[in-house]
Amino acid sequence: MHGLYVDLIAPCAADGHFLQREYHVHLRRMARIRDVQGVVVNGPAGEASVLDYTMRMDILKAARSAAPAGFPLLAAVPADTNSITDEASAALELGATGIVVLGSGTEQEDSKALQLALDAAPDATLVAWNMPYAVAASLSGVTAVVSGTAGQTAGNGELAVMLTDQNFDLRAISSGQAAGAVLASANISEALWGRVFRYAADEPGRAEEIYSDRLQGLQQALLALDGPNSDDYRQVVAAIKHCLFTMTQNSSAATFPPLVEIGDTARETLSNALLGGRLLPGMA
Amino acid sequence: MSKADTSIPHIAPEEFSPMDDRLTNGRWVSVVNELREKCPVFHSSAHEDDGFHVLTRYEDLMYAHLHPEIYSSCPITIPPAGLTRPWGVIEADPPIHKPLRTLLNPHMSKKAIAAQEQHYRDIAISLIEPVVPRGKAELVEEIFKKFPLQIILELFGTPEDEKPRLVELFHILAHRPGEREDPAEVQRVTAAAAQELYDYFTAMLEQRRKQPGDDLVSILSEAVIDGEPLTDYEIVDYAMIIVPAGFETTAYGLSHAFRTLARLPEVRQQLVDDFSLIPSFIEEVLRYESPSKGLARTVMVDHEVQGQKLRRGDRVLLLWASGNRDPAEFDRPDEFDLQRKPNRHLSFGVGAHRCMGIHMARLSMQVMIEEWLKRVPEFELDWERVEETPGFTWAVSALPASWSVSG
Repeated sequence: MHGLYVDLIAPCAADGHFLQREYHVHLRRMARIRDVQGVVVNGPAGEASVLDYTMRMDILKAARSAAPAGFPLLAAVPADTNSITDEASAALELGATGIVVLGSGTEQEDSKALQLALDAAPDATLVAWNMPYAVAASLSGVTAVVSGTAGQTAGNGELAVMLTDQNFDLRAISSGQAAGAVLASANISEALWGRVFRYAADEPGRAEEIYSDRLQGLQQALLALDGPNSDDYRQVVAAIKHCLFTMTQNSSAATFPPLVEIGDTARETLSNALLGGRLLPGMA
Repeated sequence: MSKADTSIPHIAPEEFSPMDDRLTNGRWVSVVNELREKCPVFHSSAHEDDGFHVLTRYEDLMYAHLHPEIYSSCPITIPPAGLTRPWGVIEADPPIHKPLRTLLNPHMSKKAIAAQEQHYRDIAISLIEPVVPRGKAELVEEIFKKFPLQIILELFGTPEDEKPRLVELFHILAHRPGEREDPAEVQRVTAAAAQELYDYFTAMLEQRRKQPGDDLVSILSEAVIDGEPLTDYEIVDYAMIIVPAGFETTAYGLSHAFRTLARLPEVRQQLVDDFSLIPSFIEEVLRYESPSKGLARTVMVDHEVQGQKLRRGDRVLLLWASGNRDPAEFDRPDEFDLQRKPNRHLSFGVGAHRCMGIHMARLSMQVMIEEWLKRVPEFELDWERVEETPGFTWAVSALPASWSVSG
């Protein structure tokens, strides 16, 4: 398993119901980006923690119907020892190509849940998310996603994108509000977005040079939306740039880029740019 | 531009652009014929970061049209139009494309459009009759652009004073003036134009929700798919594509048709003698001239075409203009054959994305040609002043004509 896997957000209406057609459009948008290797369905960015089983399965079905043949779909499932065997099996039956186990924060429970998932899906890609790295690393065949520090995998709501890394199996490359910036940029300039991240992975030494060139186009696209004096969009571009640049500067370090702060107005603007602002509470 | 100016530029595959003004005035024919023969699938770096592949053979173009699971319709143009969201129904893929498209089928069906014939005819006459006594006119600005615009914007209930700005904005989107000289600036300008259009139709939607009418936005605002109403974005995006799709294509289909009538007086005389030949004439103009040189797709599944590997994410131009001249499909493809049968040209697209306004376009063109030839059976063009503007739809953008005024 390698490359960029986008944790798909799940667009919802104001009353909380899932907007399937918008999700379809969003997934197809990601699948058109050559540098995106696959997607995570019902992951932290999709606010999986507030979705029930039926809704998670509905979203997975919607994802499968929208995804092109052979395009990897990783289904996220909670690390619940009572339900993970059935849910992982059901997800595979619905067309998931891998399982992402969302850690509960309890080491013993997570470890057991991972083993159950491994038993239920022995041939599928298995990813440990939001659990101590040691837990994931202790099991053969499990890919660990790490963020924040080397000892802890990504937390809920933090991840937008994962990227292979030489020190860890997978790694988050944006977090918190910057995740919104990254995803919003995908809405505006998808080819550029994929390209920037590929450079982030392949040519870290040239990061600043590449970003200043590549992000110029993105900045123009963003500014055109709201006029040349929009500080909100300048902030967004700066956030993306900072996030990427910091990451590649520290590509072998145990620490990860700091959370990039952007203002409330910029967040709202991003929310509007990103699927019409119909994000679940907490994502915008 | 001169009628005789047909020198063929040398254009290597790597620099081929569907927006290249060196290909105007019919010069594209030799270029695409040669490309199709020598490299039926080629790669160009003229647009987009990674460039794009070009499919030239009719058979390959048909396959791409009929397999949306392999070829996504988004973005539908090369270069992309600069919109922040997919361009409504035209950039929708299965399974959501069909229910979206079906919503307006009752209003775009052959029967529904046929019922409008007298109305179209009245509009055409109202535009033609004032210019006939003058003995000369610039047909594109004075008639061909106004005609479909009036028909389309009536569907939206757009006030007269707002039409010029809409035309200007859609022109920016469709033709990207200055693209070859300064693509970054064009990207900025088109994105701003798109945003203004989003704002315009969003405001229209708000107004229609307060005061519903029988216009398309009101209809869409009450439409449901699987029990779900359309979102505001879906409605606005729908409007964003219907206007340029219905306006640009018909306006410039007409300008290509009238340029052909001026070039081929014997064909014109046949039509004057027998109006029943007009539908066949229209289809042959669309094949022969290919007013839209082609639309784009994005590859969704790795595969090969003619030995060329296409990867997920690759951009592909479906060069209709080449398919329409492919001798494997059309006998004597470079001859204008008024009575060509069959004429399965690609200019309306094929498959699920076949032009939604096909009946509107055909009827509009038929009515306009008929009413014009009734009043002006013979006319000439000032060929030095004929202009052609490349774009997603290639425009014969200026057509100065003159004719004898009797009495």
